[in-house]
Amino acid sequence: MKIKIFLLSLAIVSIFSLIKYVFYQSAGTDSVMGISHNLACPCECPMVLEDCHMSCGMEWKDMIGQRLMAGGNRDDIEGYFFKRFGKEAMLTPLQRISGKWYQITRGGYPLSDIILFSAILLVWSGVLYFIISGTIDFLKKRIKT
Amino acid sequence: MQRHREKYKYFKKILISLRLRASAVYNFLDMKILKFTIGLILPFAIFNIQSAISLEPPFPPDGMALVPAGEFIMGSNRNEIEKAVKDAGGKKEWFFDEEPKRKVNIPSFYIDIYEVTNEDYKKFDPNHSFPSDRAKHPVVNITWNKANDYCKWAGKSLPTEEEWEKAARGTDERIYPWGNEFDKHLNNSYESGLGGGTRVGQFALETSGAAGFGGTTEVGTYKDGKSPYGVYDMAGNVWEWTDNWYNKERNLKVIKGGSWQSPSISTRSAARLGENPNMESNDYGFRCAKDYKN
Repeated sequence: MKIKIFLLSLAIVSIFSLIKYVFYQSAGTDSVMGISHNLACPCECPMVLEDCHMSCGMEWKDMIGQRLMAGGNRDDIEGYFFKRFGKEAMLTPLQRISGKWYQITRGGYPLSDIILFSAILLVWSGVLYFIISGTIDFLKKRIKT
Repeated sequence: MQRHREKYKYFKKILISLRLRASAVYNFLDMKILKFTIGLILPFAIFNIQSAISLEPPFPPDGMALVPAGEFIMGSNRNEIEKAVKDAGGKKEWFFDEEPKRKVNIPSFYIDIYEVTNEDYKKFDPNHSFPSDRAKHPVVNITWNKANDYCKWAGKSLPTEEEWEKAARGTDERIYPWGNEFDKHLNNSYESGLGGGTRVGQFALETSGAAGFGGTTEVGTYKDGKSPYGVYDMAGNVWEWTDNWYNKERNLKVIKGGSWQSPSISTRSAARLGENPNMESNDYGFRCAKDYKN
């Protein structure tokens, strides 16, 4: 039972993390990383521009940076990329997931990042486990009385 | 008998005298008329000869088309933008810079029928290099300043946005140079699949500004895609620099026309993009324009 609750907690935290990654970004909206979160990497890989560190990706990030410095905002810049490169430059949620999966599985992903992410996942799963267990115990006592 | 002879001689003298006088008068008048005629015609003749020598011939310069003076409809309205976005994707807010749709009246001008090619540009810059099979492709990786310098060298100038758009769409409000419906067979853009066929993950060669000549096609390839004034490649192939500021405070110049890797929505004649004049890319080129002189 305890294991099932823990696995359920882990699943909930994982799904929540995925939703947060796909639909929300940690970087500011009008920042290079914030805007890169919504664009595809222009290099020969299905990654998100945010995670792309190759020269072609850096070129695009540089373009974003220059336009931000010139007073542009996220909407202007996304529009600029769409007008120049079309839908291929934009990311769908599924592409963002597959891009992240590609990044993790292609090799070379920093081990420290994997360990840190796993630790965070386990900690939050643990917290949720205690919340769910505590709630179940509380309800059991109420039913008995 | 004697008397008759004398009378005859007398009349003869009068006649001769009259004839001489008439002749003198005629000569006099003739000279005057001649002088008058010469005086009237000569200045015009001289003026026209000077005009023929110093001013433009009545025919467009080589490689250029005449766009006559007059009004045309420039830009797009909200309905057109929404329809375009519905068909091609994107957000309508990204295209609000095409508003408002308005009448613009500009004087006559000439515009290059073709985009400036690599072989054209090499005449200006002998150090310009390009693959041998790209001689008749539009020159790319050109900043606004270089484009402007080339046009000045050629005795021309970059077209204004108004000139460019009129040359592209004519005076009947058409959306594309050939009409109102997009046709991938009439231009080199993303949908044509000729220049790139790019998809997510394959931009490496196509978008690097420093290297690579991109997916351009030879100028004038799409004969049926020309504008009402016989100007080619006003949709797709390369974005073209204009002389106008998109936003002077942000140092952005207007570029028009879309390119080999642009979606169809960017190849509409009213579409516009703001770009840093120091930017060079393998989808940026240009053509020149020239004032018309009567």
